[in-house]
Amino acid sequence: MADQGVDTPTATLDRDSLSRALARVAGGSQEALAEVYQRTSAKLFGICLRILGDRSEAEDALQDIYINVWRKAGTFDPARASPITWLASLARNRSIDRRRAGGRHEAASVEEAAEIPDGSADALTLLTTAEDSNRIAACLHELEERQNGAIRAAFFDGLSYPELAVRWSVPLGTMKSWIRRGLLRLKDCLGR
Amino acid sequence: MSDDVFSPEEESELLAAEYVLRLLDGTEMLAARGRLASDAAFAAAVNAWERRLEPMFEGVAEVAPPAGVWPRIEQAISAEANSAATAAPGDNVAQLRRRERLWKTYAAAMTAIAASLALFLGLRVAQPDRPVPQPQGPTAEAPALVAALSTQGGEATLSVTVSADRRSVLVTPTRMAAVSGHSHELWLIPASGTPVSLGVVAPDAPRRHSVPAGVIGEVRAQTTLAVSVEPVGGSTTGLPTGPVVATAPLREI
Repeated sequence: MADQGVDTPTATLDRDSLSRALARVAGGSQEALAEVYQRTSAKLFGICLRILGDRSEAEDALQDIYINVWRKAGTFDPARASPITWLASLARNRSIDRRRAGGRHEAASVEEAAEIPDGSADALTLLTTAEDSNRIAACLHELEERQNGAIRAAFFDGLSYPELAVRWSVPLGTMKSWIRRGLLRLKDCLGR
Repeated sequence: MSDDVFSPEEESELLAAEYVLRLLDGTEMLAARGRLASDAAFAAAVNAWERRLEPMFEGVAEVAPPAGVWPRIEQAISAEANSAATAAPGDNVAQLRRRERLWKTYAAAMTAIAASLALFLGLRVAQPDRPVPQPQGPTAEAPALVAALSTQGGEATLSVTVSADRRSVLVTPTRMAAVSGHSHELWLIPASGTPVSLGVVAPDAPRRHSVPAGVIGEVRAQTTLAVSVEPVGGSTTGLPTGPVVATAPLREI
């Protein structure tokens, strides 16, 4: 049915066809799961790798995530989330669970994280419009440098408050304050 | 922790964002999860933050996974699909897959549960009315599902152990201060977010509660259980009406 998902005309079409593929996965179609994997695994592997900071851990996580997609596709509700957000959140949460459960895997350090390049803009028309993406980037940019940095690290590296405090070498209360003030400003900015 | 003072509305917004970002751990995380299950406004705030932050996923670089990953996934799901197909082709595949797994692991899980009872939360069940099964036969990797729920002040503490077939739970109050005029009711929070009652907790003795057929498939690791304070005999609306005083996820052991 859908192929690469790169040349499709609009993000909406991509989203709809991915939602339909997930519905077929829920109905037991392995072919549909193969399609979902083909279209989304590079993004999800990027998420796992970023959070786990270890290739073999990330591979195990990715396998676990798609087996979960197979089992849980029926719980996906297109009215609540876009399919790629559902998948990306699943990948992010499972990776965070894995790292926190293991306890032995440190998140990629600031230096290592910097080596993992940011996604190319054209890579994911699946997500939302470029406008939304630019908007949140602009709003994050409006924050103090340290607020911006800490919120990004929380999102991309999946770090908790205590982990962020360690990374920035500040007391936990200070880190909470940076992030909480930053989040309220971010919400204001996005609501403007 | 910090000296900032935020309004209750702001606190609620912030908790929703912290929950989505996974900034919280331990009991704070559980409290947020419990609130998600019982507070529709909070659930809406969580959903709004998910949508707000969604464009950030674009900032994650795509990395093609190695070719070996997909065949492993395919193998795992084929095994599940095949076992379901031989059981009864054309029926509800997901349900059959689940049932198949459960039957296979029945014996081993029963053993694990029996063993876990003794370990769990210093659980004391005086004079068990039947012998504890001894581990034997092919003990499997089958994990038992348990949850420990405790109110913040520790007035109510109970443990929940799921039967191997996921059709019932053994609820054991380890500490239950009498709350006159109230009952504690146990809820399962399925993926849909709408709590399903598992029954009123007997304050003084372990009791087995049936899991409603519609949510047996939801009885698995990470599914949240919650305890609410209700009128004597339990909620009459089918949903929690009083405060949620404890939540915990089911855990595999």
